[in-house]
Amino acid sequence: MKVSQIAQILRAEVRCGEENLDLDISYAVASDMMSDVLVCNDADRLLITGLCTVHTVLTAQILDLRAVVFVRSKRPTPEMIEVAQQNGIAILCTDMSMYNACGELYKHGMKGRARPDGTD
Amino acid sequence: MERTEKETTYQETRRVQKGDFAAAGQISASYKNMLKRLGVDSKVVRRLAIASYEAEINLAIHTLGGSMTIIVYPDHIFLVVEDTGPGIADIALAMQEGYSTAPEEVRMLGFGAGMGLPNMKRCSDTFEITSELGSGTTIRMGFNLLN
Repeated sequence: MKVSQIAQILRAEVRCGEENLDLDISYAVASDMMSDVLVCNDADRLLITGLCTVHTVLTAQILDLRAVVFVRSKRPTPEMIEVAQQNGIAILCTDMSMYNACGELYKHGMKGRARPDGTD
Repeated sequence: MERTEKETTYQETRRVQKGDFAAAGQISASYKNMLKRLGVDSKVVRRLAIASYEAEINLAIHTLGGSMTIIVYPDHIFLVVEDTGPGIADIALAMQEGYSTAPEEVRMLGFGAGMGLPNMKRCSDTFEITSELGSGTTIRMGFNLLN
């Protein structure tokens, strides 16, 4: 699914990384625990989270993720935007809850990937 | 790790201060950039960066402070993580996924789920951990560049 479609489905504001809008991302992981996100090293994933800290963006950087969605109306700080821009990570912000954001993306065909063996 | 200095492509040691969670991750991010510049395979870079990030977070959260040393050879990378305490009482227990002694404030920041040590082992090709209460913990991880 293209990042632009993800933004449209989630009615999300793209805060940075517009150059990634045409990128395809195959899977998603949703968690507020970065420890759990780090367990799978597949880079072809969208991170959906309500944890809005610089360590969220750092986690995306370490994992080579290309896009992060902040749910529940969380808004990134200028520092977070700067780190994301430096590392080519798109930041999307939606007012949807984690549950609804995941549900909408799942309904449109995006599957999860969270475990070390690549399953969900 | 019995190698001659002549073979070494790159080596650096950096300190991690006790409780400095805000800075945790910067060393791992710099390793990632450096290894990319050296042309190391991106999958190996990612595995090493994850293991390093977990170790760096652990040093800030759980220890009295410590250091991270990366040694790059043409065919191998070693990452050595050392701290000055307090040490791990039961390594087998600490290696179990989900076991954590992290305080609530760390969990609120998205870490301390008890996945760090097992994830370091999973991401590295070789993994050794030794620990002594009162003295500290040493973790040695190896990453093969020839696979």
